[in-house]
Amino acid sequence: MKMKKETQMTKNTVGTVPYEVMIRLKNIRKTYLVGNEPVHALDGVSLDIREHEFVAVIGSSGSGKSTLMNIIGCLDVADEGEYFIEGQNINQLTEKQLGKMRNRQIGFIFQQFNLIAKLDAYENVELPLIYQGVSGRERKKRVVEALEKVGLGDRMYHRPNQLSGGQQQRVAVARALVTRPTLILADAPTGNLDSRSSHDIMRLLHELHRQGNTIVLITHDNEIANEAPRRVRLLDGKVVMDTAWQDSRRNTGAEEKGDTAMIRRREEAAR
Amino acid sequence: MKLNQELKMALASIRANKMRSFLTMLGIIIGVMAVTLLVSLVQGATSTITDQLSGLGGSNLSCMVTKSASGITLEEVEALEQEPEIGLVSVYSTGSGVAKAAGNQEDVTINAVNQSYQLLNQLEIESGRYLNAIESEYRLTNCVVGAGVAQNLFGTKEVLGETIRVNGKDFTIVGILKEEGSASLNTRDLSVFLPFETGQRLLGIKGVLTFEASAADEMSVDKAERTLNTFLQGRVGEDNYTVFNMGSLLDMITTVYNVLGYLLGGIAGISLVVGGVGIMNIMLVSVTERTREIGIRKAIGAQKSDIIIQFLIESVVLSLMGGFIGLVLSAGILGIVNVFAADYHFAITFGVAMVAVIFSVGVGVVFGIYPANKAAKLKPIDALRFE
Repeated sequence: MKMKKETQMTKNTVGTVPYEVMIRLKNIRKTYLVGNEPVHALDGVSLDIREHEFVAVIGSSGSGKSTLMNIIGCLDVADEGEYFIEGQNINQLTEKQLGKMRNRQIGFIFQQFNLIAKLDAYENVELPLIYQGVSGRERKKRVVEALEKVGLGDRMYHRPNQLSGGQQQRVAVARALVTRPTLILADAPTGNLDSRSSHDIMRLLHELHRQGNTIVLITHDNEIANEAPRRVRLLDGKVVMDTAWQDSRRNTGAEEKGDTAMIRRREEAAR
Repeated sequence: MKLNQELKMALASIRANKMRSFLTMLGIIIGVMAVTLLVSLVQGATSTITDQLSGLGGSNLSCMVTKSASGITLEEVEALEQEPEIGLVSVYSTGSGVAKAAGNQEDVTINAVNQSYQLLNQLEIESGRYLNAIESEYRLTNCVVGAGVAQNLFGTKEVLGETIRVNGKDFTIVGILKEEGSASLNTRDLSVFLPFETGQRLLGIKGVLTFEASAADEMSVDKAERTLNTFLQGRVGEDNYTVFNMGSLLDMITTVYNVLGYLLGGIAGISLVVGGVGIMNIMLVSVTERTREIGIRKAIGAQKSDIIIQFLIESVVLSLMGGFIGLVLSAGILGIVNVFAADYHFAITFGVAMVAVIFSVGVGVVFGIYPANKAAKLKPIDALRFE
């Protein structure tokens, strides 16, 4: 896995997006029509997320964070702007390629868990691998590994309705990481959980982050968001705060500052 | 994506809604049952009837002199057997009479027959022997009786050597026929067979008026018919005779029954289509119910084709299961019918079973494709938002 990431990074240096920037949103706009009134859910959002980052996107309801999550997750396409995952321009992909992208590059964790009720934990985790065409033996190995990682090795054959909310969400986490995705995208993963289960899930996310995964956490809960090293705040479809800026202003984290400055310059050059 | 995974999922979702799945299948079950039952019943009836007709002399040419001044002699008619295209010539005269023995009496059919009659009409001897040419030539008073005659007059079938009085004349029984049963179209159970010339005299008939000829083989039936026409035309003149081809009658009857079979099968087929509409309806409900599941599947990477295959397999499995249950049920019903109608034999032929199964799969595909396509076209984001 480490090897794979490194080869992709080398590829990126010659592609459109420099060095280890994994996700790049450039001036993303998305407008919905509510009745006849256009609502700008995203009003020019630009954001870079680098490999191994743990970013929390915070915003109240209506701030556009769900729309952002849908676009980052390749569930929806932006009206305007450009979006790259590892140098791949997502706007240019067909529906089939978007499906492949979701399957291989992104692991979803939803607020409502979104497990399939009639399948047990094992089958739910296995599903993305089936769609990927992974062989039976390999699937078994990876599904068991993922379920053990989230501490559900003893509940593999339980249906979602036989599991607590926290356990269901852990199954969802296992399903998200079983494909070894580029990015784990968590949409208010603790929103439907009690504080104890929330704590478990956050601990799991931190652990995944420590193990080298890139994580984008979308939440309206400041307390949860504060656990993330980098926080981005959305308001009315615009990024109004990014701790990466503050770091650069405070002149701390020289590496981060350098990167951000470079990204800005390139962005300006692109315009 | 592997097919057996899809199959497992389809079975799981059919199991999850047992009652609904069964009711959906019911349409197909009834449809397949109706088609196979009706077609099998018609086929069974056709083969029973054609069997009986060929028992009457299926490929034989039946000749009848309607008007004759001089009549034809037995020798002239039997000489026809020498023609290469003609096989056997069976000469017979028929009348009715009363048979008496052991103080009982019975109305019987009197048949004056020659030796070829037995072969052409497939008479089966239970005990004793059949009449021979010498008995006819010397007008011996021997006879062969049907099983019913022996049973009704003597109360037993062991009547060899017994004397029986037919129309006031005594005959010695030299042979008894096998029992044929009442289902047979021309039962010979209540017949008495006499040597031709003995019988002619008893019935008061002069000359040969009716006879049957078989063709030497199937290819020469038409030629044999022409030979008979030429012969009869020369002997009794045009318009005074008929030659009747049993084979063409048999063909006609078979055709009529086949048409009847297709017609009934077609009508029953309508119920299969109705069953298919039932499947489509339930699949559409299922797609709506499972919008969220479809959304989840698409979010984690299912392609359009994966979703289409998933729903198609489900509808095909439903209709195929219905088809099988329908087949098994109609086989069971035919088994019961066979018990009650012992003279007929009804069975589902392999062809009918194959057509039923292929049709039910077809129904599953045709009526499953629209719902499956509808499911596959859902956008993941809309499907996920669906509550």
